[in-house]
Amino acid sequence: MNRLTASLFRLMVNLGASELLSHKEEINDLNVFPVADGDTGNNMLACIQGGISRLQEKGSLADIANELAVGSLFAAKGNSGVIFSQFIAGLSQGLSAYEDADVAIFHQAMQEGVKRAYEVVVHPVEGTMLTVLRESVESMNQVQDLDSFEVYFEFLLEAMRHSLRHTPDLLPVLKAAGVIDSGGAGILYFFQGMAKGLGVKEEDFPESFQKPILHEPNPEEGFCTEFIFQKKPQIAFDLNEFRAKLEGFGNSIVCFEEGDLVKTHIHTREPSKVADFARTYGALVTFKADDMAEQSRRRYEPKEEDEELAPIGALVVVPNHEIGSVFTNYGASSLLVAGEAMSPSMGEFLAAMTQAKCESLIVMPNNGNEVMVAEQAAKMVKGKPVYVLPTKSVGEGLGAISIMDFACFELEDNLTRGREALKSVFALEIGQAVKGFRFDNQQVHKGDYVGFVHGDPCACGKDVVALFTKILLQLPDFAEKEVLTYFYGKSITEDQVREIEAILTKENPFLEIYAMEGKQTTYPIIACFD
Amino acid sequence: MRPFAILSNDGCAFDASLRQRFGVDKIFLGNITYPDGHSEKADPEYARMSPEAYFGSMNKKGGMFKTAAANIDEIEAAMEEVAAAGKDILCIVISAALSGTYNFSLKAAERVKEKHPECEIVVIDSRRYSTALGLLLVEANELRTQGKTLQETAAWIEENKSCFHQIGIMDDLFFLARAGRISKAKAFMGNLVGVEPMADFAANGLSEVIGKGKGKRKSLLAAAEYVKQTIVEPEKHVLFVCHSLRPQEAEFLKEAILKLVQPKDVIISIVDQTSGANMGPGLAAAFYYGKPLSEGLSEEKALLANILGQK
Repeated sequence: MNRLTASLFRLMVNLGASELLSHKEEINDLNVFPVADGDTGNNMLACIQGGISRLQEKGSLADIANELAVGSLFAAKGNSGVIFSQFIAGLSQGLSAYEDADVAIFHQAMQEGVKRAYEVVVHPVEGTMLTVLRESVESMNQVQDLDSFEVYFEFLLEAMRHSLRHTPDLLPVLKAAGVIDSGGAGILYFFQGMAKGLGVKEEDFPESFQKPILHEPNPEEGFCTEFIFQKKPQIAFDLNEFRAKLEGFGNSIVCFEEGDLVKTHIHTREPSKVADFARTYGALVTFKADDMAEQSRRRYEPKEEDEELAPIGALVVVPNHEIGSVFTNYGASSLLVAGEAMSPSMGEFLAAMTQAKCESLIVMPNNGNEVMVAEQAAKMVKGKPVYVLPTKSVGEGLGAISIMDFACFELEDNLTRGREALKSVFALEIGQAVKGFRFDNQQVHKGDYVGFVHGDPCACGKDVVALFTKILLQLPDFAEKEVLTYFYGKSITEDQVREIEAILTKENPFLEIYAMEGKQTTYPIIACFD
Repeated sequence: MRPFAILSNDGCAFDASLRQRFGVDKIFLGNITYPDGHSEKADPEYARMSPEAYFGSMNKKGGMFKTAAANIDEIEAAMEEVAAAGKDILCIVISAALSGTYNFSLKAAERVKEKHPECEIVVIDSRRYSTALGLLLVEANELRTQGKTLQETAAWIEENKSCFHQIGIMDDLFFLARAGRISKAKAFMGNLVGVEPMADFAANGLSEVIGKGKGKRKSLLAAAEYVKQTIVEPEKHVLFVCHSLRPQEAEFLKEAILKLVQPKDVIISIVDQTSGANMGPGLAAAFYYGKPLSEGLSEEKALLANILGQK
């Protein structure tokens, strides 16, 4: 792959986040510097997830990069989170002028990221994530005429592993604890995840990430303090001068400005005095101070037993929360709310699958394209088997989950029931044409209603009730069907709901009809008939 | 050989006519606390409040009905009356997994034995509730009528109590789950629109979902087929179709069963107040003597899945 496009970059970043999520606890456990508070994984993940939350489906590479930077900067917390956010901001800045990028442009952006990461730390310490970033990117300076992103990342990851392996040689506290640097490990995992988007094969890091030998917490450590303030325009502000003054209050200072906002991280015993100091320059927007000794002490307390994992979980893709709540009633343990006529990305699938707290997971997408994406994501999930039911619509998902039972039936039993249900359920969506088109010698005009089965148009008409009932009545096995369950959207009235019932029960008095308000807008009717 | 009396608690779902017909000599009544806080003795005859009014008053947003077993003194009094009349006692009560009645009955029996050492008293944990408990009483009476001794009757009941099935539909498992009467309850608090959970008895006497049907008619027909495939010697045993405010569904189920098997008798009855307080409205199920239940109900689940076309 020679070009980094917006969609590829978005995918890679999502995969990087998923990899961080998968290894979050491992990274937390490695955390001994600057304070052994066990939150490096949490902080790095929060940072990148903050960036991802701002990403839109569409947009150029520049758009993606800018949104990622802004989101990461303000979601970042903790020493490692803020440094990581600055690296992301620098990387994004390096890509911000481009619709897409080649390897050379990407490498320049990586260099920009390293530069910004170092700049934000008042006293950079080697043997940390800064070293891993710097050394690996510097090593790529030696590689000439590289145009393949796959090869670039293979070399980059090898360099990161090498650098990470040597962090204990640079930072005595790591050596004493017998571990590599946690932030550096987070960087490696993030880029490992990104590389998956290129199809680069994952290699196990040769050394096992053993837990650190922790020493008694030092009760003098103070407060991990973070805040953002908005500069007062009438007061002159110089970042370097501000940082220099902060050194009088504490250490581990990371500080940057973005527009009229200044974000600061500091370890101090006097957080209130730091807050007063900051207020001389502007109004505090956010402020928090955590007792670091308490955080360290908590690492010595026996951890509470992990919440017992459910034997089987069910992850369902739904267009909105109203429809999702019905699936929850049927036993779905987690929902992926994709939005109407939208599909989750592979990264979103991967994140949701990874986060599901269960021993085995069944996934139900809601359109045919999602099935393939979900299957790809399922292959990447570690720690539990993931099974994707080929549900190609909300109606099919409803038909399947309604006769499954994740508490009473075994996994294989549920999968069999779900697959069997798909053979007999008739799932239908009624949409409204936004422009004219033809199918099967039928002309659809803008505003006409169209029935879709598995995403393919099957019938059209001017009246939604007439079309919906006509499609069902014309089914060869209409008389044998027993239950019609459908979600009606915002454009369907209660009178229309009653009219549907009257028409259908006249032809089949045994038919049970359950109309539920789904509040959807794209498809006025989403139905499951079985 | 001394004659023996058959005793039970009100949760057997037998009104006076059924108790008389099937030889249940005495029942002791538990207590029901209504959502408004007042308590009354259970009313097996529905004399004070009709079933329609009783079940009709239950809703998910309302407070819970609560039930309490008859206390040791009350059970002792019932046993004492029988012992003083010179009879032995066979006392078959609601599952110990659901009620303290069994343990109270054991205690009561000890006390009565002290006063009447000649009186033989056997207390059995039915591992069932409602009409399934009633069926055990029917069988006990049948054996007694055949001349079996107390010991022989008790032995048969103990050996066969796990062969009593239930199958039917339940509109909503909400009340059962809330009352802890269903195995693996966590999944059932949701509103299962269009789905009929179908349950049989688990080994501990709780109900366990063995399948989910779509549509009442299809589910009731499947229940009838399930009865046909699991019932044993129907011509020798009574089958009950019991319901809580679902008379049409009960009638449909009865007719569907009769098209497939011919039990000794098929009786439609109403769930008793005590069981109903924990079950809520919406049940229409058959209770009958059948094959022994399999481990984890695995065979029953497979059978019903086949019948429902889900396998």
